[in-house]
Order: sequence, then C-alpha cells, then structure tokens
Amino acid sequence: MILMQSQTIELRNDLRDIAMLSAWIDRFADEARLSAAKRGELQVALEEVAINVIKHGYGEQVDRRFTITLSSDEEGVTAEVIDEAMAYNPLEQPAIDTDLPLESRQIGGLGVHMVKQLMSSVSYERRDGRNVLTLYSGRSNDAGLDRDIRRAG
Amino acid sequence: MHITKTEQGKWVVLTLVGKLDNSGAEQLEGVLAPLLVGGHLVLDFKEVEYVTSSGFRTLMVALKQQSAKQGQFVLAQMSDPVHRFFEIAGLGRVFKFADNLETLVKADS
Repeated sequence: MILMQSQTIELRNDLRDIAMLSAWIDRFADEARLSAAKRGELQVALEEVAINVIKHGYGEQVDRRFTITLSSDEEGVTAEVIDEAMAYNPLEQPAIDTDLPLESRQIGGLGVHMVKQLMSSVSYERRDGRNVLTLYSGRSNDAGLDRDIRRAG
Repeated sequence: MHITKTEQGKWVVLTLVGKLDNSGAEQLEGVLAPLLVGGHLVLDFKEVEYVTSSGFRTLMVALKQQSAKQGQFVLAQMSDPVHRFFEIAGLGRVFKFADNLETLVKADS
C-alpha cells in the first residue's frame, strides 16, 4: 500500500543546494516507492526547474529562497515549485528544434524541453506575487508514451 | 558522480557511476578537458542513473571538439531508461552508441 504523503524542502538560490535537492528526491522516491524510471524523470525535471529559478529567476540576487513540495498518492506524484522572483513563466520559452544537426543546436531551452516531455503535465501560475510551477507525473505514464495526448490537450 | 579513467589498447575509457546532473557534468567536464584532443574516447554509461540538460551540454561540447579533431567519441553500455533521456532531448541520433564496451575496444585496437 502506498500512503499519501507530502514533503517540502527550502533551497537557497545557490547551485550548491542542487545536491541537497537530489538527495531529498531520492529519499522521497524511496518512501513513495517510485520506480527507478519515475525517480529518474523526477530528478531530471526538478533539477531543470530548480536551476531555472536560481539562474534566471533570482539571477544575481543574494540569499533568496524557494520551496519545492512533493506529494504522492496511488495515482502519481505532484511537485509544486514556488519562488518569489519576478513573474516568469518558463513554459513560454520558445520550443527547441531537436531535428537540427549538432552544430546548429541551441544550448538554451533544453532544460524546459526536458521538463515538458518528461512530465504528464506542467502548469504555471502567478499567485500572490509568487511564481508557482506545478508538475505532475502519473505512476503509469511513461514519458513519451502519453506525449501525443498532452499535445492534443 | 564517480569517474574512473583506464586505457584499453588505443581507447581511453571513462567509467561513469551515478548521476550525470549539474555537479556530475561539472566533474565530467574537468576530466574530459585534457582528453578532447582527438583519438579514441569512450564513456561507459552502464552505471549512470540519469542525464540532465547540464550533462547533455557537456556531452555535446565534447562531441563537437572530438569531431573537430577527427577523434572518436562513443557512449557505451547505456541502459534503456537512460537512452530514453537522449531520445527525449532529441539526441538519440546525434551520438555514437555502442552496446558492448569490450567488443568495441577489441574490434578497434
């Protein structure tokens, strides 16, 4: 039986906190009994989002914080990332072209692209002066398999 | 991430263990820097858990540099879940992959 649970971590806008985030996700994945594949997807998606907040959200600002809350039940895992940076919707970044040859590939945008592809759904909202990004990953959905459905919706 | 370097015939083999995430990519970049001079370079991915965009960036830069010097840059023994990250990133056909490290090294040494 999988118990419903929810945990929150607070991180500084410091790339050194990313290692802490990763260890925390591993512990959560153990407790929520996520498959190895789901754990990897969650790790990648949340690192991309956290780095985005640190580099683009807070930029040069010093000692800012943001939180990530993970909750899981039998259906899936939800991650809510909340920061107090200026309004910024990462989902509005232009899509990258993955058909280009290596020489022409742009370096930016790959992270957000990965997040969108890996998660079942991702949504952005500006709430009470904060950026709230909500990621959802269904337990039964493998990344890539439900992509067409998501695009249609 | 743990990275060990061995030499097998004319191949330099880097064995990667753990997460090729932001900090893993930084480590790998440091190890790769003096090795991107052409020649035969293979990364053993057998024990890699996942790859983030930071990892992909490091690998793309390495591939470009090796290619510019007519060197080999091969990713070997990757698990299916990890290979899927490459496909999702649109890099499934950009890199050269090898199923078996031993076969690769023996065939070309």
